[in-house]
Amino acid sequence: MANIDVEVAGLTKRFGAFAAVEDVSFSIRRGEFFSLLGPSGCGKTTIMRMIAGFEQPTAGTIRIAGEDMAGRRPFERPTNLVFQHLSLFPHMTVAGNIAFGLQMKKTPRRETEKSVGEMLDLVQLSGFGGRKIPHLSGGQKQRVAIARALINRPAVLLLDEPLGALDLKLREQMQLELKRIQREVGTTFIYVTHDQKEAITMSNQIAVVNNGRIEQIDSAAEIYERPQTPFVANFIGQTNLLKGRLSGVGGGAGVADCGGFRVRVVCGFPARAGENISLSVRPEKIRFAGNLPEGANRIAAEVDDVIFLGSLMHYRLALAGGITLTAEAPKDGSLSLARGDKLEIGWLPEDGSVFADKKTE
Amino acid sequence: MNAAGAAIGTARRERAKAAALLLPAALWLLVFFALPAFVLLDSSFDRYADAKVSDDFTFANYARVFSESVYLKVFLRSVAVAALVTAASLLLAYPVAHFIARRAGKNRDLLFLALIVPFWTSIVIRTYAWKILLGTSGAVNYFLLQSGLAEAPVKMLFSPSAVVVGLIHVLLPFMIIPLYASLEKIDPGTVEAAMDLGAGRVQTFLRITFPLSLPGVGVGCLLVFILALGSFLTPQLLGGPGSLMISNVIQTEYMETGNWPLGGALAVVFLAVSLVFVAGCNKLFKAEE
Amino acid sequence: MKSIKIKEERRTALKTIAAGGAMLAFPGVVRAQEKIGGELYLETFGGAYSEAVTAYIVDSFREKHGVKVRVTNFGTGGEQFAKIKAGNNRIDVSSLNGSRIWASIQAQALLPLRLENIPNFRKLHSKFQNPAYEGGSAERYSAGLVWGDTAIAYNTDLVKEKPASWHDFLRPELQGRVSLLGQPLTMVQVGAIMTGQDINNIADLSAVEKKLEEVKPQLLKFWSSGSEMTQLLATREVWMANFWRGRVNKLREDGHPIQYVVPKEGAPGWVDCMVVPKTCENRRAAEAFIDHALDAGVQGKFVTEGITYAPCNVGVALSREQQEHLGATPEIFETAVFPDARYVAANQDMWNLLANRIKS
Repeated sequence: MANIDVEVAGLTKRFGAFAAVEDVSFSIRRGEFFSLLGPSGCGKTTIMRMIAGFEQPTAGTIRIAGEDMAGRRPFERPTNLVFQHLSLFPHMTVAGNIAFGLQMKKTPRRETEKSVGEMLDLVQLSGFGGRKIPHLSGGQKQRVAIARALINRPAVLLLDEPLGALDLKLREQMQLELKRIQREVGTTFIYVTHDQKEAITMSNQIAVVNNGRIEQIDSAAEIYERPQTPFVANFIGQTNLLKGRLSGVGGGAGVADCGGFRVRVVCGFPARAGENISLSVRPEKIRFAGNLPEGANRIAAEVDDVIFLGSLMHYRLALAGGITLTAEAPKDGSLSLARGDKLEIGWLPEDGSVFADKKTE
Repeated sequence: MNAAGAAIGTARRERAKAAALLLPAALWLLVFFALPAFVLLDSSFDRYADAKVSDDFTFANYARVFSESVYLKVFLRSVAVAALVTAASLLLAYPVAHFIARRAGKNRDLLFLALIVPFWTSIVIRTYAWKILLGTSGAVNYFLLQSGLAEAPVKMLFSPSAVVVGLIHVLLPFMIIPLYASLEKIDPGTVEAAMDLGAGRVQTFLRITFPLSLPGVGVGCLLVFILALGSFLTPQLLGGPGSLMISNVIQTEYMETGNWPLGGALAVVFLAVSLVFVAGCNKLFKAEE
Repeated sequence: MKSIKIKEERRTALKTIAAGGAMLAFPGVVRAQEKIGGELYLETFGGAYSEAVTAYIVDSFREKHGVKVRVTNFGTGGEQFAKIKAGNNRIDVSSLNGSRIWASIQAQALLPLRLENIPNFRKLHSKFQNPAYEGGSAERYSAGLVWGDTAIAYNTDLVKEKPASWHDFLRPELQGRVSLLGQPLTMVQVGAIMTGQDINNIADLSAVEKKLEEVKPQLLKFWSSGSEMTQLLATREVWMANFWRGRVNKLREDGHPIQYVVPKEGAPGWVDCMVVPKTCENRRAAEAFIDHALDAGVQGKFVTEGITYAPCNVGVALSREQQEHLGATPEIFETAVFPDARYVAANQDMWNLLANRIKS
């Protein structure tokens, strides 16, 4: 357990009758990049603010480096926060902002200056110490906010959607920067975001939060490949969700009747015939006639629309029963489809994810 | 070349549009400020003798303003009163503005309204209210006598301190409103960030909240100081036999003596000192930004 | 040629007919200067004074001449002086204190009165028919309405011994209980009387200043308007002050224990006049109004039922008792000293400076 840095158990926050966070538990290993991912209003920010000490939990415990944080004020916790709107001190210089945490600890001036210099180097802002905050670009402000939060060497750095205000290019650049900084300092990062791509790019572990609860905690790859709920499947990446009813179940596999066509599925749970299920198939898992492997489901389809996405193509496919699927294929010339083309498509049963619908009856 | 020309044309049109939008305000300023100020300045060089104003150009009025020590004395008193009123208003207004801006939540509008409502009452009535409250037979003295806290009525009115109290009351909203505007604009995140980085309440206030509210402090102090410096009614109604302020002196020249040139010269000097003060303040608070 | 001539003749004839028709239709256009009518803009002192003017002068004037009168008020005489001097607003007839008449004449802010339109002017006491405050100008510019003095008002409950002299302001027990009118003119007048000098010939101004400095610690404040002083006396903030008889009468009527006394050294007098400012647009009606106000019957009612000051018309019939109530006894009138307007104008600047020094 020694390398567990953050341990959250049964964390709950209610505002009156409304439960913003409900029975959330997770643990984070030291030095991990951990993301809380979910749509806005799902409770992820509240979880983070409880860890930082700005909100008091209604129930549950938070332990950081083995110590219970109950009753500790924000500055008594080994955490620091990078705010959503950065909240830099606009009346201070870059160096003044970064030095603030050390000044509050009454660190000697020489030492402070040295640390500030190191931080400036870390975030690649050497020489910017004397700049005024309003004169910085968005990306530079970002770096200052990170440096300011890191200077007190927190055990855990909390980041509340810090890249939200940046444009796409800069955001992608800053994501890499954040990864680099995290590698260099080795601090545990808890990163709150609603951007699934961002979470996938940066995180070791992702907790997908929905309606105040955690739907799944896993590595990015696991969450992508093996979503455990339809919400996760839908929220992470793009997917096709099909409704169906199981028949012929046996040995963890079965046949699902999707209305209009039947497909073979692999169930990761004890399934019964007649049960209603949801089936998730990622667009890139859908193969086309001529490229269909052995054992794949085969379904007749008609190309409804062709969407050009640079290196990729999206095909909207109309299936029997009025069902539409989106398929993705690299644009390498091997496949040339046009609207109205009729062909066979399909996927391997193990490439689909099956979820039992909550209410069967 | 063409694009540059078009850009210049657009810029010119934009400037013309801005000028058109500014025109009403500029005209207003011209008619109601610049022209009267010019008339004032012009009249301050006229000669007054034997109840008659004549057009001959003279510096005599200014010579008198600067040679008679009574004007300097009254002016210094006005500055002292204004400074005191400003400092006290700042101390009283800050917690109120802070509360409304940061803590009041949904009551904010209501509280703000309560702040504005007194403006609907004339300053004369508000000043008379102090007479009723603090007078010899006023409410406060009644309480003091009835409760046995005092044996004889306490004299609270008709002194420089009564003038200060009256002015603070009248001018407090002019301090609260700019302070509120400035405090309300501060990102609450900066305060949380400071606390997150180890600052206690006092440190957070001194290092973050107060410096960030300085523009409001500057505007509030400027408004209150200038208004207090030029106050006329409050010193007249609440002042004692020696509470004369500069506006009362100017008023006497216009109303009683009819020596408008001397009144004009006093007003011009007063206006000049006020403008210097405004410019000084501006520079001070610009530098902060 | 011929046709042109006929045309011209016709045109002349048409013009004559048109003019005649206009005269028939609008006789007022032709005789506008002579006819009393239209609207009258009247400005006078506010409060009880204005109410009395409206009730006892304006209403009967309106009935008599059918002139619509707009009455507006001002707070202090100084305010009105400045306004008349500035000459920006239409004022057909205005109240104005005697001490400001000469300065207003100097500023060319007044129209001379055409006495043939004001027959009642001849009924005024001779002092007001050729008054000192007009500084000896050839024409008449003011018609006195009421006059009075500025003497001592005191609270009979709080001041045990009835004051008899201006020096009673210096009684030790009155420290912080006295108030003086803050007008430079009145301040200097009080100082001059206390130092035994003629208010219209002050030989030793520094003695006046010294005396006022001596009075200053006794003062609660300098008062600035009649309504302010009324309140200060009514709330017992001030125990003794220089004030006006009519206001004191009013305070007593309202049940306050305030008395008015003229000290043995005498008291400076004042006159409330009516003037026609140069911004007048209905001069004939203004003069008719003045004539009406000076009528013995109208004035009699105004001073006995309205505000209790002495009438300027000597023809007003008053009993001895009424005379005493109004301060209109011949003895008071004989001893009253009215300021010499030319002397005031020549010295006002210096007096104002002196007043500022006292007040600062």
